[in-house]
Order: sequence, then C-alpha cells, then structure tokens
Amino acid sequence: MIPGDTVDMLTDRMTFEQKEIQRKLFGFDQPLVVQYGQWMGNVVQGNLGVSLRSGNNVVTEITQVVPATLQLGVFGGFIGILLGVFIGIVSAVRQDTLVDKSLRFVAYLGISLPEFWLGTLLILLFSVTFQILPAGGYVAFSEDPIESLRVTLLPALVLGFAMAAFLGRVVRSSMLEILRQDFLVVAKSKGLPVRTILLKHALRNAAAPIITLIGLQIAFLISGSVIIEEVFVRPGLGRLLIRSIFQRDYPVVQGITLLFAVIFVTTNLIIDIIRGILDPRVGEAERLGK
Amino acid sequence: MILKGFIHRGFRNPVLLLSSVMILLVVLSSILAPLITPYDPSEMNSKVRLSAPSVEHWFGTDQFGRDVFTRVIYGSRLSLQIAITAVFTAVIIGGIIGILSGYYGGWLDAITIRIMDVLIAFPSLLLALFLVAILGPDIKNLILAISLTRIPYFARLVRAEVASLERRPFVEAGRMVGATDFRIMIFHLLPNVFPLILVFATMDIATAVIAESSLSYLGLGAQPPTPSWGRMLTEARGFLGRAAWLSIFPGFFLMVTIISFNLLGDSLRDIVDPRLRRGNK
Repeated sequence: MIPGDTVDMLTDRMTFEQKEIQRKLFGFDQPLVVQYGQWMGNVVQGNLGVSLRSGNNVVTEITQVVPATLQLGVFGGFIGILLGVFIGIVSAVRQDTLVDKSLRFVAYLGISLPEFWLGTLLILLFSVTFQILPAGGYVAFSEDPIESLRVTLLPALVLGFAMAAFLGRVVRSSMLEILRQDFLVVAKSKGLPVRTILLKHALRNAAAPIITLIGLQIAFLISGSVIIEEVFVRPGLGRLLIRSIFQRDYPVVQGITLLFAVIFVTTNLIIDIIRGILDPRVGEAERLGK
Repeated sequence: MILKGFIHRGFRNPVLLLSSVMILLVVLSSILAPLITPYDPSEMNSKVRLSAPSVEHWFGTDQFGRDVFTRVIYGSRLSLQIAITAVFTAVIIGGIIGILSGYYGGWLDAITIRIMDVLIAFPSLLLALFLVAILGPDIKNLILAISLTRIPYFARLVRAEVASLERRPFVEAGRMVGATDFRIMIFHLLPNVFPLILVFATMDIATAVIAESSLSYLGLGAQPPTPSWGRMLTEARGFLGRAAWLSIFPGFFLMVTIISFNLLGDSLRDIVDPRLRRGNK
C-alpha cells in the first residue's frame, strides 16, 4: 500500500490527535472489511460517498467531468469507425496493391504508436508549428460549439486513429473472406454497381465480427481517453481518476472504477445480444452448447 | 528448427532482418549504456539548460541541463528491463496455468478460465493502472502489475494449444508406455507449444513497453530522476514550443522499439505457423 492516508495528504499542520479525530470522521479507524461493507451498502442505494478532497458528493464529482470524456469518446469513436471501415474496405478491394500495402502500414503504425506519443506529435505539428489548433483544454459544447469541436479535434483524432487501425485490419480480413463467396460473384455478374455490392451485400455479411470489435473497442476508448486526457489537459474522467489516485481520494477512485466496470459489463452484454440478432447461428450454437 | 528457419529466411525476408537488427541495437545500447553515453543520466549542468542538439549534446539537453542522448539510452534500459521481466514472468505463470488446465480439463480448467476471462474483460492498461495505484508507484510494482495483466493471454493461448494437442496420437502413445502426466507435459506438450509461446512473447514485449511507458507518462511508473521514455515525454510537455527535441528523441526511440518487436513477432509467426500467413492474405 502507498504509505500514508488521505488525512496525511490533506494537511501536515494537524497534531496527531487532530488527525485521529479526522480519521474517525471518515471512518478510517474501522477495519477494511467494515469500510468495504459500508461502501457497498451505500452503493446499492446510489450513494458513492463523499470526495475526501473537495467534500462534494462523488456522483456530482463524476457527472461534472463526464461530458468532456463523452464528447471525446463519441467524436473519437465516430472518426475511428468511419476511418476503420474505409481503410478496411479499400484495402480489401485493392488487395496486394500499393494502396493496400500503404494502408496496412498506416494501420500498423496506429497499433504500434502509444497514444501519448501520437498526441505529442500532433500537438507539435498543429499547435506549435502551424498554430492552427489549440494544444488542449476543454470548452463545453453548449458554451461555444465551434471552439468546443476545435479543442476536441486533436484528441479525437488520436483516439480515432488507434481505433481505426484495429478496426481496419478486421474489416479487411472479413471483407476478403466475403468477397470470395459465390453470391458476390453472382451479384457482380448481374451487373450491380460496385458501391451497392460492397456496402449492401458484402459489408452487411461482414458485419458480425466488426460489430463485436466495435463493442470491444468501447473499453479501449475508455482506457485510451485516460491517457489522451492527460496529454491534452482535458478535464474528463481520466484526469479526475489520475488526480484522485495521487491525492489518495479513494471514494472518487472507487466510484470511477465502478462506473468503468459497469460500462464494460453492459457493452459486453449488448454486443452478445446484437450478435445474436445479426447472425442467428450464434445464439443457436450457444444454446446447443457450442 | 526455429534458428535454422531464422537464418535461412533472414536473407530473403528484409522485415525479419531489419527488425532483428533494430532490436539487437536497442538491446546492445541498453546493456552498454555506461560505455557509449558521454554523461551521467542524472548529472545536471545549469550552464547548458535547454540547449539544442549539438556536437557535445547530440540530442540536446533538458531543463536541468541533463544530456538527452544519455537519458534516452538509459531509458531503453529501464523499458526493456521492465518489459522483458514482466513478459517472462507472465509466460512462466501463464504457461503453467495453461498447461495444467488444458491437460487436466474439468473443474480446474473451468475455474481458471473464468478467472482469466474476467481479467481479460478489463482493459489491461486500466487494470495495471489500478494495481499500481493501490501498490504504490515503483519499478517492482510496475513489473508486477504489467505481468499480471499479461498472464491471462498466455494462459489462454497455451491452454487452447494443449487441449488440442492432448487428443493427438503421440500423447496417447506416451500414456500407453506408462509416461507420467508430468513427463507428458514437460517432454511432449511443452516442446510443441514452445514456438507459439516464443512468437507471442516477442509481440507481448511491445505491448509491455507500451504499458510501461504509458504508466510512466501518467506518473505511475519509474519515479524521477530515473530516466524513462514515458516520464521524459511528460516532463517535456511544458517545453513543446521551446525545446521540441525533449519529446522527439525519446518518443522516436520508443516508437522504433515497439515497432521492431511487433515486426519481429509477426515474422516469427509466419515461420512458426505458415497457415496463419496464408489466412491473412
């Protein structure tokens, strides 16, 4: 354990006795099991406790910063899906050409580059050298929509690029598999336009693994945003989490952990349901015990 | 078998050759760090604060006048040390779990694989972050946290492989001549899983380097003044406009290291399992 508790962090001007009184107030003198039991009991009632640093309700602390993270996640996810599907389709259709090879190289970079390094590079390029985009911060969408999007663009690009790299690979390989199948050869010989074939026939059949991956990427979007928020000094969940860890503000850390866990479990459940709907064989196979 | 294929293909496969050479360079420079670096990594010199790259300071100096080249080389030492130790631990523990649960199956298998699934469901980086937050940020805990997040991947890999090998005739034959379970696992199953483990361990070093540098970037890794690539990038944030070299050099070395390990892993996989390559194309 990190030595020292929150009381030590808050102030060192208190005497030992005063600190003990504070600890009793927070309940730190109780055994861990009891503290955990009390916390769980409160959680069930929708009470996540009080931030030890600010004295605010943890729920309020969290909801205050959610918009910044949500905007980044939605924007980044949007870029990621568009770019990923685009990269995947183009590189499947142009298989083994120069276009395919360069797109795969870009995807390789996206998988290999840590977010904070790509973020730093983008800041150096767009904020320091060309000075066309802000290097970070946050403006609420309701205050100034255009500035808000400008501030979010770079972090969302970093998030989206990493996501697109993973997605592009899966889209490519599942498209390649589908493109070889007979029904697409038929569609082509019927003289259907390429766009219809690709988007309506091929992409729909390639959708199941792609949807699964997008669902899994939600977890990735969250963990990615923790670092990206640090890079771009964006006051969201990630920054709150890191700050609370350093200040040993455990109720807030626990609250955010709980929120993340709930999001992961929920998205996993939703993916399973959507997969079952998209491809009835999945549900059937699981009922039969694989 | 691997080495022969390696040398044989090295000349025909430029990616394999290039990535091995890069890794060799990074490993050598980190081992020989004290010999090739002209300065001490934490030696401060107020006369040359934030000086641009020059003949004396190839990569420039930071806000305390420390030589960036020296710190980047020492940073590779730390990253590799942490990544390799973490992956090695994960391979050993994950491998044992995987072989046991794949070989014996049954309730032991059911329980361990559920636990592994739970560990995988949570993003590795966040899991490592929470672990370090609880244990306290230092190098030992960093290794512990990173290896714990990698264990389930190796356990699942080995388990799946062992479970499919276990039904093959040679295992059956081994049992018939009275080989013990232990003997079958060590002398019959392990050599068959080993190449696959090697491939994934190579790629996992890249993942571990990313994890290490990300946590260090967040301030949860190596503590100053220990030079670490992630930490150097955090400290350089305030000087992006004035001293870009503070970010560019550590970031570039980090990137090259990660890409090299990924490429080497990919090339090794093509050698070990040619089926996968055809499947990819």
